[in-house]
Amino acid sequence: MNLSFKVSAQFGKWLISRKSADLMFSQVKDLIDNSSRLVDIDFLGVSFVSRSFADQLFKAIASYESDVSVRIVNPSRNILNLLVATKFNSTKNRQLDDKHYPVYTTNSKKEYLSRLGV
Amino acid sequence: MTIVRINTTTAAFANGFGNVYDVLKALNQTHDKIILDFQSATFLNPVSLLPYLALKKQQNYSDRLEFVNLSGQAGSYCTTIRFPNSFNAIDSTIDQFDEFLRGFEVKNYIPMTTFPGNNSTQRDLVITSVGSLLNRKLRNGPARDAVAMLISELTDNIGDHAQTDKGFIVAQNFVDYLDIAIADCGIGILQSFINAGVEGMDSASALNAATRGESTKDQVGRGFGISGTIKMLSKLGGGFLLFSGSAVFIQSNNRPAKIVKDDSAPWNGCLALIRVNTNIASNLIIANFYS
Repeated sequence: MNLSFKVSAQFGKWLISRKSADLMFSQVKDLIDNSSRLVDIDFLGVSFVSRSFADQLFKAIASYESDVSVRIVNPSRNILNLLVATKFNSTKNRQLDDKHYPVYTTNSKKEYLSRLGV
Repeated sequence: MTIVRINTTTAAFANGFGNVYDVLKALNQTHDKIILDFQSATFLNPVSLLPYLALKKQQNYSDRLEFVNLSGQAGSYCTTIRFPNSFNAIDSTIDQFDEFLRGFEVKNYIPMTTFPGNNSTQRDLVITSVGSLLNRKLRNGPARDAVAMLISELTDNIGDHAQTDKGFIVAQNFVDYLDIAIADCGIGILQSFINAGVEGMDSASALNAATRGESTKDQVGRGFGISGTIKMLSKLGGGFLLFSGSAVFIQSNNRPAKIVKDDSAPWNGCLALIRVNTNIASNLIIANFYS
């Protein structure tokens, strides 16, 4: 049996934290029973997903050991872009930026503000 | 008694930061009562006021800080933006908070709001309400995504790392840009690395590590919040100031990013001042800055 979890009905249009990703996937798992083969996480009506939420959702899905397939459906174009970018990062060790910013140490207010340019 | 004369005069990015420095130095180096005198402040941007609210809300500082000459037009404005009291969204139901925010649908700002610092559903709901209201004020699609991403990543960092019970947020929308300030008085970036077992860092090297994407959470997929913010604001134009411990990271239009450190005026926790250019190319894909 195929199941569908309507994200916006349970969590609204904005999904912004790792905690809400864990909570949501916990509810998805609660839907699943012995006859389930596929569960769709339906993003129809969701307008924003944060990178942290997406990363945590992928981690939760990856750690879910089951024969049931999990599929994300109906994301908006922007959310799809983010999911693709995040999915890539969630499965590979990232390369850190090479950049080290210059550090200026002072105990003079004048120099401090001048360095900051404010 | 130490008197700090608040002299913000323009809407320039981080204008008035010198006053924040003065207040922090006085808090750190004296046991004086500190009077913040607003008589000379000819321009009040909520973003420049949020640090004082965050400090006033700390138990160890609340009796030492006093605000004076907040009267007349400036006083009326401060009442409107909820300075120095803020709206306490920690002890409110989300319905009460949404009702409160409805009064700001046609305003150009989000009033000063205290939100839960822990990773809770209440925090998510509060930040979602703030973000949704800001989204409705912006017409440019990528700008909406950028602002939503900034708010979610930086407030999520508070829940993940700061170990504090509250955070503070305010925003002011101008014609071509949006200013946001987010603050906490938690453990700060350096202590977060120390707690994760990293040795030999100071505030500046911890900030350097965070800005290049190192995370105290040893997992793939981490460390994008601050580094992604920097990449995005670098491309979009605007400004980003991140103050933690005794180090300040700053990046603003046409000036190379840098870190400035002064041990005499530390911020215990994290203070982020953000300026987002809201007049950006409509085909820009914000997700790319986080990949």
